[in-house]
Amino acid sequence: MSATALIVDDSRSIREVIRRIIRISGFGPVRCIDAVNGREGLEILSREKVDVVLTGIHMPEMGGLEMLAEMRRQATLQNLPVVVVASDAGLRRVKNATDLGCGKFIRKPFYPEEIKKALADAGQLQEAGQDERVETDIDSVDF
Amino acid sequence: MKELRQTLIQSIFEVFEKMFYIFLEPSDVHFLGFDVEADIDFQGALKGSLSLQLSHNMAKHMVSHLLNMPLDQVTDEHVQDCAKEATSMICGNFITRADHQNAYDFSPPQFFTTPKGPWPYSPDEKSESVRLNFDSDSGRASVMLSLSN
Repeated sequence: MSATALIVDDSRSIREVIRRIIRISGFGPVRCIDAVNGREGLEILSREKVDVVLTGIHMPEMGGLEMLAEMRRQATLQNLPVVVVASDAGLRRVKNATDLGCGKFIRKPFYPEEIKKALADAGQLQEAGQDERVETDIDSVDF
Repeated sequence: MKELRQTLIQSIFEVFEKMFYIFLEPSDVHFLGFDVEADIDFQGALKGSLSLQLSHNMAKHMVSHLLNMPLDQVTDEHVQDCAKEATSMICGNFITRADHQNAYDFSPPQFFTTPKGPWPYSPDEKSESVRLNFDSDSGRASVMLSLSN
């Protein structure tokens, strides 16, 4: 059975980079779902079982921290692991995210290992055996 | 402004090296004829804007390196998304370094296929600005930071 990662960012490039890091990081099998902002992220979370969320902060319509605040108001999403990936990483912003239960704050630009470690620490994606096939949705890579 | 200039250079290098695997060389030459530009505004204890101009070759190499795709498969949409994201990253990284304490608001990055005009265009009378030029094997880039008083 595959785990599911929700990637929320308004940049397709960043979503694809994170998706590729997950694909090559030795987690297996992982299904990746994309959202372009917090509102779309919440909509996906209302109908899909998601194991971990990676989100940016500044996005049109609804940002990542607003999405996180709404998640924490919902009983079913209160404990869902969330990794914030953002270039706006001042102390106050990081504290806001941490107060909302963000498990890990990764500052852009990032090395792939930082994403991999954050996901490993979240504990929801299992390390794959060497022969295990990794699944990903690659349809939404298209621009 | 001198300290902010050094901080901005560090942010530009970090973004280009970590995300795009491109090693920039600072240049004193004021290049003209950039092909694309992305701008972002920021507001907090510091207020202003940051613009990134790129040659088409540089923009295509950035996409190619970021997404690990052949140059001939890079589309205009890739270039637009990548230029906006690079601008956002440089600005966020710069602000975090320059003012680690405070939270800032950022505008959505804007993209232009025809840059507004040869820099330095007339900055606002009440603003300070710094322009940095870079060359590399992948093409040319220029960054302009304007701070409002």
